Amino acid sequence: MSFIIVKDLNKTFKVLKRDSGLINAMKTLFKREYKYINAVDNVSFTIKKGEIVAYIGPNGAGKSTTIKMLTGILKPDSGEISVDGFDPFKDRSKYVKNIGVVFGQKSQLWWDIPVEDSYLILKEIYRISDKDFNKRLNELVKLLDLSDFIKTPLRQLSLGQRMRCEIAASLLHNPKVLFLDEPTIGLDAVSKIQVRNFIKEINKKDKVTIILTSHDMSDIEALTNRVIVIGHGKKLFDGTFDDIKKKFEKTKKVEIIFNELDKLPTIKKVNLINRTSTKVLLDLDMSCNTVSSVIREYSKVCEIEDVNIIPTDIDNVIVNLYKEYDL
Amino acid sequence: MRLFFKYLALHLKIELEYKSSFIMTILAQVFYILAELITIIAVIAKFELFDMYSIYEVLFNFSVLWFGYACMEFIFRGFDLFSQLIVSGDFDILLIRPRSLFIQIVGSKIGYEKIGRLIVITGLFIYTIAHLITNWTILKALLLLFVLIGVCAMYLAIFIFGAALSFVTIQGLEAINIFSSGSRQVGQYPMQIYHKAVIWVFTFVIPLTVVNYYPLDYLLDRTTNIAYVFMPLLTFILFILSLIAFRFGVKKYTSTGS
Repeated sequence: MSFIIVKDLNKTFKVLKRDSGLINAMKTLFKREYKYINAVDNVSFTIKKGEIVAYIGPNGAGKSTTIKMLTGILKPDSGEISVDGFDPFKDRSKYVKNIGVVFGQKSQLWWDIPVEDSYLILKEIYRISDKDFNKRLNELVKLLDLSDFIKTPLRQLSLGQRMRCEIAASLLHNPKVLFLDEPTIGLDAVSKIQVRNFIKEINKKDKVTIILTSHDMSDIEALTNRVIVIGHGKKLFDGTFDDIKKKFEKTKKVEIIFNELDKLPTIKKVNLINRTSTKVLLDLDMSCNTVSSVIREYSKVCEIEDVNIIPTDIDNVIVNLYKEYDL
Repeated sequence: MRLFFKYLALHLKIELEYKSSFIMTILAQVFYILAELITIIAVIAKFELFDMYSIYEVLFNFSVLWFGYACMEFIFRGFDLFSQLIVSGDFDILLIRPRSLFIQIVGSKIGYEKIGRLIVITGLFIYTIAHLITNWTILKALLLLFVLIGVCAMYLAIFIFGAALSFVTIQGLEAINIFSSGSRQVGQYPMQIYHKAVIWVFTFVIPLTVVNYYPLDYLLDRTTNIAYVFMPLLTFILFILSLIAFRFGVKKYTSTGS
């Protein structure tokens, strides 16, 4: 059974039209023109319990708006949302006990006091019992390696440390769903991997359903296989990462190593990027080639020693995807 | 309530992170209120109004209004600064927590720096009524209690209206200053010096007169009408209206950016 159901979700924002310049600014005082932006346009999807789903799209695609509706912050114009049987906006006060939210660009901890003190306030807000709180906190401190700085005021922490504290804060009350809005924004490689591993761990251990948005494709590739792509408010794609690759990977780089070669075979739509006496690096247009067909052509003219398929940069695949949909 | 005390402790801790700045602000607030006090006495003296009103009547008006204002700025500073929560987007964070918005907004800021002002004004208020009221009755004591509660409800209502307004204009603070600071400036003088229309506005728009002008009549035995005792509680109508307005604003909330 589906844990999260989103059906025909719509949200339109009324935005005041503004032109630049002082005179135009004065004009808007008297005559206001509005335009309507469909931030979320008939989006539907379902998510199973314990799934990790990446929600991606370019800036302004409607990701945050969807997350805000899923977390009960915004009221949908039309459509249905059901998370574990709750309507997020209508049942907000009951619903939010079951969710944890991390906004990558907003802090829910207090800037000037030690992190642990912030956690104690959250304990009070979520009405967590002493026993549950201590157990959970110990667990999180261990998993996220917070013990060195949990007694330090938040303002003195590095960005990576801060994000780890934020994630721990969102999980203190043992939520069933975790929303992560750009959790790795601005983090260094070490922190990023730490955060990723933790997210995987918590998903496996506590069966927390996780919805995350990120612009960091390596994040998403490392964490999940289910991806929902949104652009101009519409759902464009819902499937696995492999599906995306299959569909939008336009070219592939292949390195062929051989003994000797006199003359290169000519294959349509294959670009030679580099050539030395024992190897070539090729760029294959996947629309009329396959890796095996190219290798076959080469094997006719030389003895192949080894073939390396160089993994595509997933960012390029996503760029192709966005281009395809004209985003 | 437990959460409220946790918030009180939290903000005290935050203030104490910056001790010297905290103390300086408190002192500045004390000087501010003393300067206001001196000004008003000087003005009254200059225009020789003391023939008509005793200085204690003037001080009563002054201290009632400032007490309500300082008290509400101390506890409900979160509503006063609510537009900042909207602009920064931190209001979203309040919405994802399983507690009432009211307690969370209160908990977003406690105006500890107003405490200096509050102590001075409480002292002044006690001094004033000790000289003003010669023959005490239970009803007079009750009226004084209602006056304090009423003036607090009035300023809280103004703050909440301001907060509700910031859902619409994002920066509603200035508009609401007209009412909070404006009413204080007008109301600290004896109401009798104003035109009838002004008194009308400050009864039916901002119910200022019900917490100082009319109660004074009862306290000084100018009237014995018992209705005067309960008059300050009329400010609760404004308070309820402000809660309705705020609720309406929350429904309209559209959040900002990502």
